[in-house]
Amino acid sequence: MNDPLAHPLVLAYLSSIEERTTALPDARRQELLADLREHIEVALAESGTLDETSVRRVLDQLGTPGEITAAALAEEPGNHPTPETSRHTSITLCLAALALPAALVPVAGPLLSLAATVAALVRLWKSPQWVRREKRQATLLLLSPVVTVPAFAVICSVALGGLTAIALLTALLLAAFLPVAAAVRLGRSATRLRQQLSW
Amino acid sequence: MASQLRKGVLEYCVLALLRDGPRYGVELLAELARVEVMATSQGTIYPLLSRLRRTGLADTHLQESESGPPRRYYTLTDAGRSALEEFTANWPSFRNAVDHFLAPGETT
Repeated sequence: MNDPLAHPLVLAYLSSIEERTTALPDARRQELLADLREHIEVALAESGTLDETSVRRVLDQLGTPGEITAAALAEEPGNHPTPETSRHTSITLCLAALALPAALVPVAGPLLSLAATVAALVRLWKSPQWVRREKRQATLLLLSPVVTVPAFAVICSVALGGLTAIALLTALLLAAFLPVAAAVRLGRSATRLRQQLSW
Repeated sequence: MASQLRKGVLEYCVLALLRDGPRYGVELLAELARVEVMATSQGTIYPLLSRLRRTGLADTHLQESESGPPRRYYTLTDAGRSALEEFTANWPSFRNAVDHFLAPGETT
C-alpha cells in the first residue's frame, strides 16, 4: 500500500498546520503533528482505500487547520508569547537594516553603526516575537558585516585597482544585503505570528 | 454557546469513554462524534488528549494491529479515574442547580 502521509492533500494539510503553530512550544507542536499523522494513517488504513475521496473525508472530519490550531493554542493558557506592538517590531527591524548604512555618516558613522547593531540585537533577544532559532539566525546575519565588509573590501580593491572610496562604498553596500535580508525575514515571521494570535 | 458548554465537560466525556477500557484515537473520536452535541472537528480533540496525558489523567501505549499501522491506545490512570469519579459525584447537583435557575418562576 502507498504511504498515506505522502498524499499531496495530506502533505498540504499538515504543513498548513505546521506553519500556523509556530506560537506553540516546540514539543507541543511536534506532538500535535505526530498525533495528526497517526490519526490520518489509521483512519485511511481503516477506510481501506487511498483514493482522493477518502483522503478528503478523513481530513474534513479532522477539521480545518484553523480550527485545530485554535484548539491547540487554547490549551496553552498563559504560555502564548504576548505579541509586542507592531511599532516596536518595526523599530527593531529598522535598526537592524540601517546599522550598516549608518557607517557612512561622516565622523560618527562607525559609532552609530555599532550602537544600532547592539540596540537591534538587544531588542531582538528580548522580544517574544520570534523563536530561538530565528533569533540565532538573525544574529549571525546581523553580525555578518564583521566578516563580509573586509572580505568584499579586499575583492573590490583588487577589482578596482586600489582601496579607493568607491571600493569601500561598494563593499559596504554588498555587505548590507545580509542584514536587510534578516530584517525582511523577521518581519514576515512577526506578521505571521500576529495573525495566529489574533484568532 | 454550545461550544462554550462543551469545552467544560468534554474532557470528562473523554475520561468516561475510557472508563471501561483502552481505546485508540480514531475509535475514541468516532465514539464522541456519534453523540451530536459532543460532535466537533475531530482534530481539535488531540490537544485535549495531549493535556490529559501531560497532566497524568490518561496514558498511552502503541499496540500492533492486524491491519495497518500500530494504534495508540489511551488508558485511564488512577488519577484520571478519581477525577472522573469526582466529576460524576458533582455533576447531578450542578445539573440541578442549572435546572433550578432555568425553570420558570423558581428564581425568587
